[in-house]
Amino acid sequence: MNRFWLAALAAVLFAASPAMADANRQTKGTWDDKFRQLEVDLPTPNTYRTASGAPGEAYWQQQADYVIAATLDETAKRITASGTITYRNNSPHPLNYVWLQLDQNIFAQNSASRLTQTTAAPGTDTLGIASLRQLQSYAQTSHGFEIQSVSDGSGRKLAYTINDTMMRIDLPGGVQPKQSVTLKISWAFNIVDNGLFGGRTGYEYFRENDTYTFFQAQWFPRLVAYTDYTGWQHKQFLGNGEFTLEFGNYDVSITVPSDHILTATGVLQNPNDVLTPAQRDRLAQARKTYDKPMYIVTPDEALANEKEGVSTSRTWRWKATNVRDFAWASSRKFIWDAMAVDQPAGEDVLAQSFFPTEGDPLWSLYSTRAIAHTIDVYSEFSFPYPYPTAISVNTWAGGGMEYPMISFNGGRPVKDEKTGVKTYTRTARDGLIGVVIHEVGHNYVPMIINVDERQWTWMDEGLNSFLDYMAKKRWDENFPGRNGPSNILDGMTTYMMSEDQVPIMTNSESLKQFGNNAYGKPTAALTVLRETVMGRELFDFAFKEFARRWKFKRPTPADFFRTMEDASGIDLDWFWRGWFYTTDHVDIALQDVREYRLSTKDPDVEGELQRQRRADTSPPSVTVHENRDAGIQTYMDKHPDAADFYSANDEFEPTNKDRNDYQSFVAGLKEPDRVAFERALRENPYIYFMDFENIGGLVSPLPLRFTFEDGSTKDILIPAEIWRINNQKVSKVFVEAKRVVSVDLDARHQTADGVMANNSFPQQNVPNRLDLFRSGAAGGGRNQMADAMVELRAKAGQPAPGPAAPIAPTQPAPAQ
Amino acid sequence: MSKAGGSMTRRLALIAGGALVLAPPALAHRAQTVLSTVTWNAASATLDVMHRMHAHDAELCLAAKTGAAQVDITVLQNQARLMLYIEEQFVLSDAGKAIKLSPLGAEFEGEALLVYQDCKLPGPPRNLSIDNRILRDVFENQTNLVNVRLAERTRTLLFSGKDGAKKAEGLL
Ligand SMILES: [Zn+2]
Repeated sequence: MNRFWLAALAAVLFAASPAMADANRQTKGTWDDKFRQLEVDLPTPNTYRTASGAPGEAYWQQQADYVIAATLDETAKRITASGTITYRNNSPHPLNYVWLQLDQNIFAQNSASRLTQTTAAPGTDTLGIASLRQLQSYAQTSHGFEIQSVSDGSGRKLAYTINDTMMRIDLPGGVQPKQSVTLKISWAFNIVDNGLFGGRTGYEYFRENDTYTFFQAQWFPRLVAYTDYTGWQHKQFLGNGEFTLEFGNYDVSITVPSDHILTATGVLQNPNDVLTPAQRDRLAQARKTYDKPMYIVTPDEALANEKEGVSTSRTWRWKATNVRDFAWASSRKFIWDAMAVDQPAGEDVLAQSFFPTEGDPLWSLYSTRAIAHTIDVYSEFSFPYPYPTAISVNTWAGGGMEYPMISFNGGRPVKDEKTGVKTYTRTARDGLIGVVIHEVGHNYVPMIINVDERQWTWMDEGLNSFLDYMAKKRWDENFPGRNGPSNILDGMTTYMMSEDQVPIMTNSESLKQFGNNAYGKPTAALTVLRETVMGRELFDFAFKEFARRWKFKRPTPADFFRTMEDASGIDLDWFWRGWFYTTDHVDIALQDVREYRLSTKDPDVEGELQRQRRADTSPPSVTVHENRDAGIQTYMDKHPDAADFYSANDEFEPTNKDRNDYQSFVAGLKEPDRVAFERALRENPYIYFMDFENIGGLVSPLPLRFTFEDGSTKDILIPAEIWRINNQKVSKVFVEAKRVVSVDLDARHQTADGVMANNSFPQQNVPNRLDLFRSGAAGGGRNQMADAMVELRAKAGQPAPGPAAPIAPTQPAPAQ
Repeated sequence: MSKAGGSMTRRLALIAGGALVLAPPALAHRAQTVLSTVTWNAASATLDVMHRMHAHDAELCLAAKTGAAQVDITVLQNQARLMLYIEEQFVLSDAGKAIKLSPLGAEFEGEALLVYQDCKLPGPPRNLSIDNRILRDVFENQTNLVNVRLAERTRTLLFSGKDGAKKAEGLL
């Protein structure tokens, strides 16, 4: 055996034995310290990030300011631009080069993202027409940035190296701490057809009327983040981990066809050049209209506008302060509505939506109102919205993507080709409202609380999904939650009980089940934290403090964990450890409930009780019964002269010694004990011993509901620390004045307990949904469905459904 | 390049209908997934199957399959169409022998559509094999999760990309 094999064997052994690798699990016994302090796993506090979770005295972040002039060539579908970036090095380190993100390069034919794509079709080799069209498209048009020149502030050429979606610019002499460097870059690129390439940017083509909308993001070279905890963020853009960016100020001029309506991150600087007097008037009016949106460009005006076309162009100039990115959208199709949002502790915000006629009637009804609602609720949880505007643009049929002040959203009605009637389903409506809340909500995280998305998707999507869940529940109590059930905690249990998971604290590109891991489970975790573990008052204060501390700064997971503890005075290490660092799930079982009464110790009283219990539990044997019925007398009946003390008295009859012992016990009780004893005898409470078992592994508080004999109920919340010595089995005693007839654990579904069947005593038969459906209790109809299927098969002219069964949809009801 | 040695040209049939393989534009919002459970129900001696999918995904699926602009999945006939589709895409067998699931029905829970199937069996399947292609021929990034629970333990199977049938054994 050579050394290589020894090493390999050792590696295998090590990997196979998690007990050796995990300091939490012990080699002796099954002890697993679920309350172990997190300090051993979190980064050491330093002058940049303190142990309390706040920015430290030496906290720094870089700044990147941009001045850009860009032109949209609508016919060629091409952007040509040049810009000046002023990069201020606030770090204590001299930098010899800077890195820029060229995320548009993800669309280049030879990008790492494209080269590492695998086929979609399972098992068989099939090619979708969409994939084929994509391949054909490359033969005509190339994609990705064409970098035309890079120079310093005085026009001297700078050397640069492009590595997939990143570009290094070498700085002769470097940029010293507290110094700035100026970079001048010219570039161009062909805009992608979003319908064909997907992604978070591009144009949409409307075949029926030969029109376009353009929505541009990742459209200019952006500074890569340079941080105290990871240096240059050097993870390439592969398509999942979104963007880690620096704050800065923007001055952007965009030239588009003169009949376009353009919207962007920031504030329009030259409304007199680009808006009509009527539009300016309406805009001024919208700034004072708080109850519902009003049109700046009406549907009729937009429809008339999109039918024409011009050969002239004009330039829209925008400024944005303290934003981490800049996006814009432009089209002659846009309907535009807006309303003002009043902020009790901040400046008014203008909520605006831009959408083609294809988005109506949904968009006129809901988009801008959903923006206003988002600002109301999110600000309550964090800080007043600090930007002057919040915008929702309809850029595609489904999905959404966030940028500072502006978001690109989907959700449209469908037009019947024959009748022209537009209809939408309830799911499409909730989809639009939900996506607007979510994407506008992203302004708070990660646009203002500048979390590192490429490292930790949960900090971006998880924190935002929690807030969007809060906002949706305040839009409509029945707003559907993730995976269906209105209660997110019920919606996440299937995922949380499944085997193939990774902890929330896993890097963005290594996540399995992105949606459940980074959106759903963190939402469930924070909901349990707020509603059950911490309570609203402490949670809300701490969450607000986190938001306040890290507004316009860049927090890490540790900063969040530490702040939530620091501001609430609650040790939550067990919670972060269980929910964020493991794949345990919540399943607590109420195993047993045993009822007791207090013993009076009085032998006469206790003897009689025991006699009764004997009679209840052990009646005389059947032989004795039969003998009695047959009139058989026992020997002792016939010979009373043989009787002694025991014959007249059963074993429960106290002896004089028992009575004397009792008397001396009572006489021997000292004052406070005697009072307590007498009081207890007077009150004669019911005493319950309850056994709980932690089956899922995740320690959880125990919300208990007692139902008493008289029908009344009482809720008790036992904190999770009950598990701190034994995290598998605990017993607890409860003393109640009234008799308890049933006990329910987590009756309000507030802990994400995955198995409710073991949560009640006496045990309740909790039928699952399928059982209920089968029994018809939920209105299920096996026969109805079967009949409908038989009919469809018959129509298809075949006994069994083949792969090409001609299935035509049934028309939905017209929209109201 | 083919493994057999020389190069070989084969005919590749394109999937008809431009919308058949959909690449949802973005991102950042909802994962394409169907959560299914396969449970042995001792009380009714049935293998119970529940599929939980986003109602809108079911609508998009039927629309792509039929070329219709819009499908309303709240309509029974469309649910029946979906059931026919699921019967083709979700296939169970025990030691190579097909387990024929009966359609039970469908109901809504919020945005989710729950589809139920079951099958009377003498006992829980010892050599269960599952193939789950639901929506995977429609959405490019579809990943399906199946939790199998025949006794105490839960086994999870994930289906995406080129995955074929997978086994769920050793659960009894
Ligand atoms: Zn998001």
